[in-house]
Amino acid sequence: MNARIRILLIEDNKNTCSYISALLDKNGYAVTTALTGREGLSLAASLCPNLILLDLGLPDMDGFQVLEQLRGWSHVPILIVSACNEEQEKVAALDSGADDYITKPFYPNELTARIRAALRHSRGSAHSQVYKALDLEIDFDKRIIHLAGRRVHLTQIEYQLLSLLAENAGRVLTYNTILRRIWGPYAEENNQILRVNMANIRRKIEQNPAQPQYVFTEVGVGYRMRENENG
Amino acid sequence: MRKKQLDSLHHMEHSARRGLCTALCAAAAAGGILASRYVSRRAERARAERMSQETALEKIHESLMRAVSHDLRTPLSGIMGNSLLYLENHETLNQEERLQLVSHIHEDSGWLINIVENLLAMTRIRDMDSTRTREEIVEEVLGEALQKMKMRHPGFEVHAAIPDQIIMLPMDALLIEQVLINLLENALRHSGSKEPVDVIVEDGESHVTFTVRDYGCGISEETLSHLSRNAPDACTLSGVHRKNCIGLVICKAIISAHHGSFTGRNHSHGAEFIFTLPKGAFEPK
Repeated sequence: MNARIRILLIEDNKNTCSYISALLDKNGYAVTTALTGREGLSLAASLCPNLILLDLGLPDMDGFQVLEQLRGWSHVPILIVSACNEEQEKVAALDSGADDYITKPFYPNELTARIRAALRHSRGSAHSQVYKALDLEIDFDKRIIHLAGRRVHLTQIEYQLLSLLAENAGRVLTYNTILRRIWGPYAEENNQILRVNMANIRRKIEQNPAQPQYVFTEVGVGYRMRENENG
Repeated sequence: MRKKQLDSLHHMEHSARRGLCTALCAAAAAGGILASRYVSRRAERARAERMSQETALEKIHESLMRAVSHDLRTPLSGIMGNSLLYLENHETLNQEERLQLVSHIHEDSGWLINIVENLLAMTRIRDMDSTRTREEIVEEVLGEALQKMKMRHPGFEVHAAIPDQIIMLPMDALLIEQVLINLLENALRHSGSKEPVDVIVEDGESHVTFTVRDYGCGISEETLSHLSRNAPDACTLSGVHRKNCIGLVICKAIISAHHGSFTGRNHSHGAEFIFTLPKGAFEPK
């Protein structure tokens, strides 16, 4: 009985496939590869993988189309692996239902961290009672934050923002996603208020706001919180 | 040869500008009747200045494209050679030799990534317009650049000092990140020192100043005089200086496209690079 977590890799470059397969195999995952979008879609249906790695530049169809079709029937976590570093493409992929995005070339531990975060979130175990990383602790039940044992006081909005990021620790959340979740569906498109709130949070929890340890910025895309050690 | 052509071009630009200035002074002296002409001359001068800035940027582009494309060959041949050596001799090589070959391949690929990112930055300068320049929070852009450096060079230490207040500036964030990364890479590779590098952000009335300061062996005069030119030509530099200089010339081109200033100098214990970015609405060049 094979209990390993199954990952489907949809990527047309054979060398990249072999590198990612070897890396994931070493980390205990069972990997199946598909070299085209069509093959990927059919394997996604027959294999029911626990996670899909999707390259956006495929030979037979647009990666966005693959993403859209997968999202038509599946909630499986999809991690985009792309050679494109433009913010617009990242935002478009994330807002079309991708769970995360990683740009080539990436470091092996970057990829495995993103996979861990996406899997943890999809299992629903992300809602542990407490977020803990380094010196920061967030108690979601009591709505209390401690930094190195000392209580941190945040405004209502700041708390909502930080706990949303902490519940999704390790994953990037786009400005749009955060705006909708905190300010509701009719939130303004302008993300300035969000970014100013984040700057204020940094001043309360980070030792140096220019070298953050807890909340990382992906400029033009959104924010990503450090992985939860309690996950 | 190319340098000569460039110099004479510069000279022509200068004398053209000087000629315009003289004409302007005469017009001003002639008094009110000529006021309308003065205005149009002034517009003309502004246009001429913008043109000369544009040609300078254009020239930087050209020389960089040549230099960068040329420099792609060096790490590529290293990767090709080392990997081939491994493939053909892996049975006779000892563990240490094998490790060395692979670590050279790794090193060269890191260099290659750097060059490619700078190449992409250059095409981005060309496309720079109001859709790509947004108000950015300075610490977020700096923070992301530092995060990337930390990922690439885990042992490399940087001390960042920023003002308490939140500073927002119009910029193309990816390009400014590239500037910071180039300056930090430059300190890491060429300062010859393991002392932490300082990054200091200061808020001024009309602009924000960024300083990247290392505590190493300083920058060569050749590089400095090159950078101080209006349109530095990376191709005319020799060996080590050139490798060192391309990243810096790209920094200068990016900052100049943002209407800021870029200077490098030696301080008593090493080198520092200072660039400014203007506040207020952004007008692409």
